[in-house]
Amino acid sequence: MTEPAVPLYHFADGLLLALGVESVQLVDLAHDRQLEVESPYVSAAERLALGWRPDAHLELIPELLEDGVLVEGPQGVDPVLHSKLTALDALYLPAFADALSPRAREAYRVVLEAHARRKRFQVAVGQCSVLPETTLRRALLVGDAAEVGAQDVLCIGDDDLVSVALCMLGHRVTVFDIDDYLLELLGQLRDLYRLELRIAQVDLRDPLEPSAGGPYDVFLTDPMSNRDFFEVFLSRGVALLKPEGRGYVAVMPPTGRLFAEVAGAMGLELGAWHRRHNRYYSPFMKIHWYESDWVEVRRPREPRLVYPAGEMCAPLNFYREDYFMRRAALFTFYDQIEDPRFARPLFLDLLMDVLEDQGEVVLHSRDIFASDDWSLIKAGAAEGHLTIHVDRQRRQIIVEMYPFAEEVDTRLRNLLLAAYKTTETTVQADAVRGVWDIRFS
Amino acid sequence: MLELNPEVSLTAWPRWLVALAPDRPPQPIDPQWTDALLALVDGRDDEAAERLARAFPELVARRDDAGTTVAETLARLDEQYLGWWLALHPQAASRLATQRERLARPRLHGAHAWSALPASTLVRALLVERLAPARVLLLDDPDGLSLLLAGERQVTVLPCGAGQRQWLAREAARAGLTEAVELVSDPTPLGDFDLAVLSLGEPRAAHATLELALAAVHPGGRLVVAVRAPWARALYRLLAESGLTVRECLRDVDHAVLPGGFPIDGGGDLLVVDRPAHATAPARPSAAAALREQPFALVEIENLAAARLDGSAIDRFAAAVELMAPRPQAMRDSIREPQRDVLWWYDLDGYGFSAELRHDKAHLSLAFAPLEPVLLSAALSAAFATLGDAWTRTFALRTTHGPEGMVLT
Repeated sequence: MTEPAVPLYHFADGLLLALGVESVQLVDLAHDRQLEVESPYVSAAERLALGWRPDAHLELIPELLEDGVLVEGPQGVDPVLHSKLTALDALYLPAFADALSPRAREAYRVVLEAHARRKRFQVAVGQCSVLPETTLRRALLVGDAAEVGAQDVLCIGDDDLVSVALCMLGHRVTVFDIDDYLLELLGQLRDLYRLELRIAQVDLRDPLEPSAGGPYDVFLTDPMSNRDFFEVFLSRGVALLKPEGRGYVAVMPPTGRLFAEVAGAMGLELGAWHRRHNRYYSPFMKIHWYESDWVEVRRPREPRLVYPAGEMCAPLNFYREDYFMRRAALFTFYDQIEDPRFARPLFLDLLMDVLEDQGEVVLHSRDIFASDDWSLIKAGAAEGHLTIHVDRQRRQIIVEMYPFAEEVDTRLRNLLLAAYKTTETTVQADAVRGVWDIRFS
Repeated sequence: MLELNPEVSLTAWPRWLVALAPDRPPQPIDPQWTDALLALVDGRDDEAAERLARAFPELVARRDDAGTTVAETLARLDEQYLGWWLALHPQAASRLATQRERLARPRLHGAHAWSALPASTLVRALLVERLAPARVLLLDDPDGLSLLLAGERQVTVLPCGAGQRQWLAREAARAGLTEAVELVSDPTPLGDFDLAVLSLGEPRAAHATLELALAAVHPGGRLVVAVRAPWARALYRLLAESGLTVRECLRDVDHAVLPGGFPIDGGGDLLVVDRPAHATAPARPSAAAALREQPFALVEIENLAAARLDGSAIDRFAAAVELMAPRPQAMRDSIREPQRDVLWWYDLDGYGFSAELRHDKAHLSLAFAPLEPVLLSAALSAAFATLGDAWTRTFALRTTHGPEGMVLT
C-alpha cells in the first residue's frame, strides 16, 4: 500500500474491522452489534480503517456517511476505543501505577492513544493484541534507556505496538511484520509521535537479508505457540542478536514445556520466566481469555539454530496453538423439578434408554449410583462422558456433558423438561471459552 | 529441638492431616496428632512431638537427596508470577524478604482458604495502605496480611481455626507486633473499624461474612473484598442488593499457592467497596435462591508429568482426593481406555466431580457440579501432588465478571 495524499474518510467512533477466518465483521462497540462485511468490500474497508480513501466502491460513500458508518477526515484517536481500553487497563494499572516514572507514564499515554487508533484486527492469522498496560510492562522489562542505555531492539511482529512504548523509553527500534495494515499504522505512529522506529516488511520464512539490520541487543516476539513458530521465530531472532543479546518470547502456558524443549535444543539459556505476564483484549474490547507467559532467552556463544539465517524455512504448522484444545462442555441446571419422587434411578434409567433409542448417542459403561437423597447416572461416550446428578432433596438435576453435542443435548433436554419441568420455566444461558452454563429455573 | 523438615507442607484437611513434600505421595496423619504437630511446627520441646517424629520420621528428617524447600518454592513462584512487579518496586524488597520468611516457616495450613504468594500478599498490603485506614479488621487471614499492615495502624484479626490463630500469634510475637495485631473471636466494638478485609465466596457463607463486615465498619468506611472465580457474578449481585458501591476493581492481584507449592493460575480480584450509612446486608437467600446462584467449575490442569501418567495414575489421584476431601467417598467409578481415563468421585452429601485424564496430552479436566469449595481445593492439591511437577499449571481460573458486567470473553 502507498499512502494517499489526502485521507478523506474513516470509520466512525466505536467502529472497527475484525477479519476472521470465516467472516469479516464491522464491530459496532457503541451499539453492541456486528455487521457482516462481504468479501468484495474487505479491501476498501481496510483502507478506511487507516483513514484512507477506498480504492473501490466509492459510490457507497454517501450512504455510509449518512448511516454514520463513515466520517470525513483523517483517522485519529477513537474516543470510544480510548475509553474502553482505559477502563480495561484500570482493572490492572493501580497495582503498579505508583511505581511508574514520568517518562513511563508518558509512554503509557502514547501507547494507549496508539491502540485507540487501531481500527482493524486480523484475527484470522492469530492477531490478538495485548492491553496497553501490558505493552508498557513489556517495554519496561527492557528498561528505560536513561537507566539501561539506549538499546537496539527488534520486534518480530508487532500487532501489540510494543515498539511505540520502547521508542518512548528511548530505544532504537526495528519492526518486522508482514501485515500491510500494521506496517502503515506503525508508519503513521512513527511520524505522529516522532519515534526512532524502522519498519520493514519481512516474511520470516525467507532467508534473512542484510537489510534486516542488527545485530540487536534484544528481540521481542509473540508467536503462536507451536513448535514450528517457536523454531522459526527463535532462529530468526537469535540469528540477529549480539553475542550477549537476549530475547523475550510470549508462550501460552500449556506449551511451556514444549517451548523449553525447543529452546534447549537450540542451546538457548532460559532467563526470567514471567508467568501470565501478557494480558490480551478482543475486538469487542473485552479481556480475552487468551493469555501468555513472557519468557526471556539468552543467546549462547554457539546457538544451534533450527533454520540458519541464510536458509528458507518451510514450516507446515503455523497458525495453530499446539496444546490440547478441550472441546466445548455443557452444564445444564434444572432447578425446582416438579416431582422429585419420579427422579429416582428407575425412571432416570428409562429416560436414558429412550435417549439411546433415539439414536443420537452411543453410551457405554452406563451405570447408576443411588443414595437416599441423590443419584448419579454416569456413562462414557466415544469422545467424552455424560454425568446426570439428581438431588431430590434440593429438587435439582444437573447435566454435565463433554463434549457438548447439540443433538444429544436437545433430546435429553426435551426428555427432562417433559418429565420434570412441565410448567412455566425461565431459561438463562451463558458461555465463556467453550463452557456452556444453561439454567432452567 | 525438633524442627519440621523444610520440604514439608502440612494441611489440616477436614478429616486428615496431610503432609506433602516434593516427589513423595501425600502422607496422611491422624488428626489425633494435631497438638503434637502444632508443637512441632512451633519448635517447642514436647514429648508428643517427639512421639510424632518417631512415628513419621520424614516429617523431621531431610533425605540425602533433599528436594526443594518450601522457602525455595515460594521464592521461585514469587519471581515467576510477580517478578515484573518486584522489579518496579525495589523499595519493597525488605518487606518481601520478611514475608517470604514468614510464609516459609512451619505452620499448619487450613483447608478452607487459599494462601497467597508472599509477593502477592505484599501487593495487597500496599493497596490497602493506599486507602490509609487507622483501624483495620481482617475476617480470616490465611497469609499474614495483618502482619504486613500492622505497625502504622491497629489491626484486628478474626482468625479461622486454631492453626491460623497460633501461627499469627507466633509470627506477631516474632515481629514484635503483639500489641499491633489483635487476635479476637468477635470483632468489637462493632462499627468502630475504618476498613474490613474479607473474602467472599459461596453465596450463603458470603451473606454471613458480609453481614459481619457491615456491622464492624462505620459508615464512610470501606471494605476490601477478595473474590475468585467462579463466585464473582453472584457476589456483584449481593453487593448491589446490599446498597454497596464498588469504587475500584483490581483484577488478578491475589496469586494463590496451595500447600505443597502448587500455584493456582488466575489471581483473585480485589474490590474496594464504599460502605455508606444505608448499606445493609440483604436477607439470607432462600434455599431455592441459593441453588440458582450455585456455580460450577470446570478446571483444566495442563503439563502433567508424563512420567507419572502410568496405569495407576487415576487411582493414585482418587486416593489422594479421598484423603483430603471434606466428607468420605460415597461412590467412585472409572472407565479406562488406552489414552484416556474417566473418573467419577462423589462424597456422602452428593458433592463431587468427573475427571478426564488424557495421557497423550498430559491433561486433566475436572468438572465440579455441584461445586463444594473445599473439595475443589482437595482435588487440585491431589492432582498436583500425584500427577504434576514444576511445569504443571491450571488453565487460569479467572473471574468472568466485573462491576459493570461481563469483562472476559
